[in-house]
Amino acid sequence: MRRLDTSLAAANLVVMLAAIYAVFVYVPTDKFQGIVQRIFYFHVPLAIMTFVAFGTVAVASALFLWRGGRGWDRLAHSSAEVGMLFCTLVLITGPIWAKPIWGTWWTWDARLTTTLILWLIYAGYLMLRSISGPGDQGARYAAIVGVVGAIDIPIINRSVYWWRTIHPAVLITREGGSGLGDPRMRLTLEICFLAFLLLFVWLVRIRNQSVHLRDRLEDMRRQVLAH
Amino acid sequence: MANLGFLIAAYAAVWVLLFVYLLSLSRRNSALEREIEELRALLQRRGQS
Repeated sequence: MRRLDTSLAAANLVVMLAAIYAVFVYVPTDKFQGIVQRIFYFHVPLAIMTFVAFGTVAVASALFLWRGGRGWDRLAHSSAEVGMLFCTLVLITGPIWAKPIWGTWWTWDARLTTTLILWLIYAGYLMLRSISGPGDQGARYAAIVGVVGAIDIPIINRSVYWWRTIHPAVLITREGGSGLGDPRMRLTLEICFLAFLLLFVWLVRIRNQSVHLRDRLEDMRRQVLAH
Repeated sequence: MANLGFLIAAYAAVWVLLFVYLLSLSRRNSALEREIEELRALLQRRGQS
């Protein structure tokens, strides 16, 4: 296990360094937005990994409710925390890009608003977990929030098509083509996707160990009290 | 190079938050491991007496 974690950390470091090189050296500057467009190479993969993280919470929570088993619950809890980190970064990097391009840090656009709602749903999930403590009942309530909350993910994804919005469609434009004209831009985005996928897997593994340790600690506390 | 400050701010935010999260994870894991060791030692002492 330790060897796998070390290999994963090393792979993560290599791909992340490649991503930084691609973003700051390799990729050409966007003709219309200028240098600030480079924020997208981290912002978009972070947004997709947020969906992956909260999607994992929903699937693991559904499996926990259906089959039981602490493993599914631990996976849901770990993914939720990493998803919150990524979603927070999306909500920070987005406005930093928006200020020079739109002239405002924030607007109540459909995609921005639904993303903020996603953040609030899973902040609620984590608060519920922290106040309910160990035990199956709190885990079951949290699992329900984890499953229901994921309904917001397809709404965010389709929001740029369903409502009038100023948020750009980066991967596929509203007209159907790719939002990134230069092949070097697409390659850079793919490297960044891989970097954040590896980061997600690595962070969830570390967080999962932490949740596992906490469960062991609770078992031992019960043993101490029983003696 | 207009808006370079925004680019730096965005990437700095990503790295600072990731670093803080990793640090907090590492501290939490260390604290849990230490507490488990203390409880294990306590249970061993009780088992011997």
